[in-house]
Amino acid sequence: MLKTRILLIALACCLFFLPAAAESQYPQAQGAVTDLAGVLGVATADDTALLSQRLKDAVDGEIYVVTRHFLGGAEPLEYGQYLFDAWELGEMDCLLLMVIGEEDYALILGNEAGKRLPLESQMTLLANSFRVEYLNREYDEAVGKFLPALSGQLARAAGEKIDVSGLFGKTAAEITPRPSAWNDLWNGMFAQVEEEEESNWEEEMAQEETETNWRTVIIWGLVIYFLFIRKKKKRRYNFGHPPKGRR
Amino acid sequence: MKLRAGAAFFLMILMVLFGVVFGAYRGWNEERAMVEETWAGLESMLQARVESAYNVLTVAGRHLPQDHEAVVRLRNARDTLEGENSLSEKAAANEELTRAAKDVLALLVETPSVQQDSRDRMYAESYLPQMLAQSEEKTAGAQYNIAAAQFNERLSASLSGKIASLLGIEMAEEFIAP
Repeated sequence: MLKTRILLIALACCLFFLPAAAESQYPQAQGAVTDLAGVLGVATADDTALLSQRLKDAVDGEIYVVTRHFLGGAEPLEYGQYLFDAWELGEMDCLLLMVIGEEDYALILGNEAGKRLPLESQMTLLANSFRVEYLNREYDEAVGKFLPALSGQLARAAGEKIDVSGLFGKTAAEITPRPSAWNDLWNGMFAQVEEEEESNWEEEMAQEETETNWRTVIIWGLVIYFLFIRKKKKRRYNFGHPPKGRR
Repeated sequence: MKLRAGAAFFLMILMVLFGVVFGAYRGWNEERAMVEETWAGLESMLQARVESAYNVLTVAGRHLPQDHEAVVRLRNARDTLEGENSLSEKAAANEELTRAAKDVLALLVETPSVQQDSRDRMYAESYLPQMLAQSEEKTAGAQYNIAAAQFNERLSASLSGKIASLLGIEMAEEFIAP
């Protein structure tokens, strides 16, 4: 009986330590960016961390970027998924793995994020906003283009807004929420109209400003005229009655 | 009375024999387990070697023909290390991997397309050779071989070892190329 208990305790200890032994093969997370290949700039790492914080505020999801030179035969998607699980990332978290020496990459999303952004959308996003720059070895540009696009789509899908202004060299560009299921239809029907409305609004503001300036000048001009320039005349308001003092 | 004394004596002999046999089996089993403990280090080293081979082949795939003799040798050595083969076969493949990888890297360094590619030139000239050197970890194999050799020597030299051999305790295979 005692031996059995000792064996069970020993087995439990082995099971406890086995995951730690497996984990030691994989790197520890170093914040939002774990740049083991040393290909990303400091500005990119800082902007990624800031964007991750904004995404967390918007949809409670964070962004992680990992770079490695090689994976020693492992598939990027498989390795990325293992890393995602080993780091215990959340349902709305995203992990972008860049394998520089193998010219390959993988995007892993949490379960909830994956439901909001299906695989085909992920592939489209990577093809449109990441692949070309990545294969041209413009790693900072690839990350700077892809992460705001990814964040925007995730926020949009959750009915939230995210501000990517000031990051990755972008000026103010607030992304407003649209229903993700009608995204393409919406783009086709209303994107043009919205752009025109934006430019009209700016024009109107400028016009209003000009009008306001002229209005001010006119008002002040009239005030000065009536106060200081125009001679005051007596006016008779006798309504048909004789003037006072005369009968 | 005679029968009882005889039976008791016989029983005593049986118990002594049982004790010797059981003790030999259990003792040598534990000795064998200690040899297996050094196997984990060797296995880790072999895995690192396989990964290094994959990485060299990745870069070679961009600049060298896949049927080049050195590339084929490296690929075969990697497959042998990765597969279900005997330790002696793996030891031979490990040595061949070192030679083939060195040849492939030497070819890569001289290839014009690598010379024009700063990233792959860095891989071929420094990153991959460094990785290969670190993956060799000769001490892991040496430690295992020492433990295995000592175990085998004791197992074959002692009476209890011979009894244990009859009961299924096998000699430890050494990590040595034929």
